[in-house]
Amino acid sequence: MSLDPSYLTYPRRAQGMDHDLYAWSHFFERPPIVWPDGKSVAIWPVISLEWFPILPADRPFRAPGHMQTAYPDYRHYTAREYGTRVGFYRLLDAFEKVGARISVACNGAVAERYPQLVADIVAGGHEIIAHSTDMNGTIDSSLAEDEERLVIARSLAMIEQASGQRPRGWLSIARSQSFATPRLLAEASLSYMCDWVHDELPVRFDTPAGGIVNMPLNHELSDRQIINVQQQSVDSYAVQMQDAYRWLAEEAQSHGGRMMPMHLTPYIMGLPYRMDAFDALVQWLAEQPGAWFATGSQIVEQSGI
Amino acid sequence: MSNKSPAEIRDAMWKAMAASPYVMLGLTGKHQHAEPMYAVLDEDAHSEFWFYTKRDNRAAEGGPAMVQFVAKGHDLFACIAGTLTEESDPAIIDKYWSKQVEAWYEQGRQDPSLLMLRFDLDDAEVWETDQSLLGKLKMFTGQTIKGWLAPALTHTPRTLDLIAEYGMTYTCDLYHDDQPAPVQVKSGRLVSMPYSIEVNDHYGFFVYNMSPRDYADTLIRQYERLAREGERSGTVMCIPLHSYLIGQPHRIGPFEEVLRHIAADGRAWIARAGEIVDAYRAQTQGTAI
Repeated sequence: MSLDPSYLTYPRRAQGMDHDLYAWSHFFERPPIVWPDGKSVAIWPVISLEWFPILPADRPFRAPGHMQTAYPDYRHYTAREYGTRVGFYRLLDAFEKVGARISVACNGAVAERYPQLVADIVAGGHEIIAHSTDMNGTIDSSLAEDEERLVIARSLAMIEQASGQRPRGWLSIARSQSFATPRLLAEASLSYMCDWVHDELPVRFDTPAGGIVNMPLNHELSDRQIINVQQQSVDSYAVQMQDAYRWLAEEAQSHGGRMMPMHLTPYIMGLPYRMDAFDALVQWLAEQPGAWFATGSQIVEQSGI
Repeated sequence: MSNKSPAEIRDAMWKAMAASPYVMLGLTGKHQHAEPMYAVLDEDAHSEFWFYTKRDNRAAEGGPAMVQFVAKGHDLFACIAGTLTEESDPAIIDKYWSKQVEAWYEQGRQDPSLLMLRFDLDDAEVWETDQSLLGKLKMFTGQTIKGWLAPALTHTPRTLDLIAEYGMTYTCDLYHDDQPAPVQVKSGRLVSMPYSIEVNDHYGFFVYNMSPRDYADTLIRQYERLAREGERSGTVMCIPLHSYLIGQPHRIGPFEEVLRHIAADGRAWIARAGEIVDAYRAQTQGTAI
């Protein structure tokens, strides 16, 4: 029995991508990027600030970390709130101790409900990335385009209202997009999004509504993936981040500036028994001569794409 | 010896005290005399009573104490051991307030010298005279349950209101903080005591798959961080345990070392939840956010 010939005919078979969002390019053959002061690795911390409504909407899907027991799930609701009340400030302290400016991916509802958090982020010179409305504000292609446009607009308005600044970056919940998302984000005049993890450097997308940069916020290097999903210790997490840094710093010697994302969740990393190891990791990173702690906007600007 | 049951003896004691609530009160282990006090009883409270007094009273500092009681007809005698604590709940202070009480305070209810002490009973010995025969029985009064931990940590929207209505003072089912915090309820007053899911032995062994020594190390790290942060404002570290998990021979040794570490450190106040709630309320009057 032979393969049906239709399997072998594909109208777009050619070198390059099977979509029009960006042109293919070889990661190791691009012109080298230069970070400020000749630094080799841009370290991009992103802390997610999430508010989980106690009633999950489940449409289009239930966000990771959402409620699990019968209503009212005080257990998970309050364990998540621990992140916004306590854990976030421990993480912020860890970065501020070394003078790092970071990005904070913030639900619109967090900005609306907890204005003090927004005030402290802005006062510290950190950047707010729009992170949907709340943890029911998930996106995939089952969501009608008008509804998705509304989720984006409402998120941006809530954050701008609280911070006085219009966010330049966007992170979808669980990094999940519809086919329309890059175009709708460009339409909303956002400069960059953090949903695609296809690369290790910023990549410009072209959409019918204009250009937008994707900043790869690799979930494999996140506390959620390493500690919650893979159930590894914070000591192991710290070693993995140091290994990643060393590798990228080495690669930067021959290929130009590299970028290391650190995606953090306050209710995961911000627990008392993890924080001392995390503090030490941030301190170690700050001591590396090639390290440049930066916000998403700074990296997009500096990468010159 | 009396052939009455402990419950009958307890009832007899409460009845006699209600008829004539005058007792002698003294702190245990202090070389000072006991003094007569008027006990405020509540028929719904079976393990506590109160005293209105003043801040310069020799028992004002609280702590372990003894109460002696002689019934009006000299037919029942009791010696009650327990703990004196400042009653911080204004609702309780108001509840038993009366013209007679008010007469003792120059500025009435707002008098700065006003102090209400709560006496939590641990155990009592009760003697009865019965036709010249003295009966002696040891009686345990039992504790009033003050805290609530929901099975499987689940609730209905009514649960917190109901446990407060039933007189409980704290819930262990909210995990949003490392300090006690007030909980708004329809009646009564409720405090959230930070229980912990994350350093629960069940989580350690079956969610994070830690070895016993890894779990012990986690507890020490948890302690060290909270002790350091607690220097500015006291924190709470709860260690939720299951005897069928931590009590196994390969786990109990490392765990005991954790307890030694914490006990020897000097920064820890090793306390029961109810004591922590009392200390928190006494400092914040339960209004802190």
